[in-house]
Amino acid sequence: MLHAIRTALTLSQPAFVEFLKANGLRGRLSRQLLSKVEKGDADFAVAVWEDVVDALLAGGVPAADVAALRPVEPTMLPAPDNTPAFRRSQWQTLADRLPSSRWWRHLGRLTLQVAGKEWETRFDQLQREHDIDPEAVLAEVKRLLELGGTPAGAGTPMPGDRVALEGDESARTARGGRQGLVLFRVRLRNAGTVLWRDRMLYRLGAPVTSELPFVPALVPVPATEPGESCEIFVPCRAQFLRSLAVISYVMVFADCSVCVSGRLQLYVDTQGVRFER
Amino acid sequence: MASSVPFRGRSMAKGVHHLVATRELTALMRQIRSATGDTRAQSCAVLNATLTRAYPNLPETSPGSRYSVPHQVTTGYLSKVERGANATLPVPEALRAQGMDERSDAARGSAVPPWLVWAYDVAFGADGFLIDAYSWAMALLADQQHNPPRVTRELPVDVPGGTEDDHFAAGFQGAPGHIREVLRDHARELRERAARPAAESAWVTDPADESGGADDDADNPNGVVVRPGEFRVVRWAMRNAGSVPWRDRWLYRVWRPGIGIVTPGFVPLPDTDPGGTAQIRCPFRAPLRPGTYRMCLKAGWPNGVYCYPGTMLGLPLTITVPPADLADCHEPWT
Repeated sequence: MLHAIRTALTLSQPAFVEFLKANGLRGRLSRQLLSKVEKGDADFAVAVWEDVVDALLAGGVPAADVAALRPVEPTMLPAPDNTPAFRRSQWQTLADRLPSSRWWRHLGRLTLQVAGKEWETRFDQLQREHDIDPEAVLAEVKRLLELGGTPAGAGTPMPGDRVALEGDESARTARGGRQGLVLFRVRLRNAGTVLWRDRMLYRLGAPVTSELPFVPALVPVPATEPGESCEIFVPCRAQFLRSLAVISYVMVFADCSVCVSGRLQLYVDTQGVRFER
Repeated sequence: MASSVPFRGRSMAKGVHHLVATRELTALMRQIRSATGDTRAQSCAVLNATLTRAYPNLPETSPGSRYSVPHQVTTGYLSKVERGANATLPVPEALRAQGMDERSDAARGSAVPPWLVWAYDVAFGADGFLIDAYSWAMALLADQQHNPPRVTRELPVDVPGGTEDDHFAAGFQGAPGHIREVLRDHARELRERAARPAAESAWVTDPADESGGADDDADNPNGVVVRPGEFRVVRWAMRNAGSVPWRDRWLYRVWRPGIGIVTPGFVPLPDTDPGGTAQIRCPFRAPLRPGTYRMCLKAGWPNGVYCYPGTMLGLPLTITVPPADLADCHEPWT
């Protein structure tokens, strides 16, 4: 819009800036910023726009041309409904592009940055000790999300499907420093009569905030016969603030619809430990 | 091996202590975008796809106008918005009066277009959290335009005598007895405070006035899953870590009433001597619409002036209202 007005005035960018200043533009306006605004790389502050509009009017630009610079303030759209289809498509696009993330390709470097050399080595040891392969986890999540888009991935909750947790409560609570790393190890027991196959844990809520830890949005659940148990690993980066937080996972089918009632709760408490070097 | 392995985090580079509300918002936007592992170029592609679905006639570049209208974004644009360098807002008068260098990183904050916040929320799976945080940022930004920064929305003096109970009960129709009891206690506190002489001369910020942080409510930790419309009371224990006695203080909700979690506009911060601990109770009602929401309470005097104008969040609580199809998730597995 501004570009069109400037072009109609047959002014170069420096000349246009001078034109605005000569017609009463207050404050600083550089040719570089004008260029960025015209290219869509930046906005002016509202107050600057008001000044620009006043200067254009004072410079003889027709009011009808200038009116377009004063649109109605846009409003916030409501959040879309969080349906199983929405969730599946949202996380499928993310899973598809994750392999090209430089952090994903260099997880060790990420650990080094957030936790230091000692813990990079320890994390690596833990992964080997428990046979955790991030690439295999991602491949399984992608397989499940793709399956969820087919009739074979659509699940129906069955009566008699039940989850029980093994181990005590302390296994699901981590106390540590702010932004510290945690690896949760949780054993889920298939306490019902339904075979678990092609299932995931889906984290409820925002992926990370100043008060909420960062954990994977989806964690695949290994196939588990009734009466048997499976082991789940949830890597976590504690929250930024000194606070108590809870992470909640529900169990879903490949199409991201719920398969069993209840949820897994994991606590991260950064209140008691002062951050130490 | 222990079932959870805690790691001690490494000391991070000291972050910028943001002073402008929208900078905190853009930092949140960056945090959630970064959590996807995307590069800015990938983020741009995802955001533009999201925006194009919402606005079919999306222009390729900004048409340039008083209010930023939806347009396709570039990596340069995202970088400027996230760093608080786009459409830079003037440094609030109160900060300038304290000698804040308006060119410093801490003082920088952008005008953030709502359509971009919405697109971040949808594209990076923020579950409505950024949309809610936008309302908080706009409310705090409005408060920061005053010198000193202060709440103007709803003050204790605005409540006519004799209507205290009705005031606190607004928005809590149908609340269970224990919630109504807390609301009645707050109304009683308001009546008692209104009856005692005001010591307005003490209502000024003081560097020796410090809050030593707060202990969170184990029943309502951050991220707690709440049913749509559910009533609860969140409790905090807040320590007076400075040398200034806390008197006549309220905890003001920073919000746009009608959006997000429902709370009273203010709840009492009990009088507390230095070294003491204040027990705070804030009733709230969860939104009906699923999503992740945050409420923030900031300490202030009865005239609305914030006791700690240089802090952003105050006492925060984040809650999650699960989607309707996952509503049967409220009982934790055992």
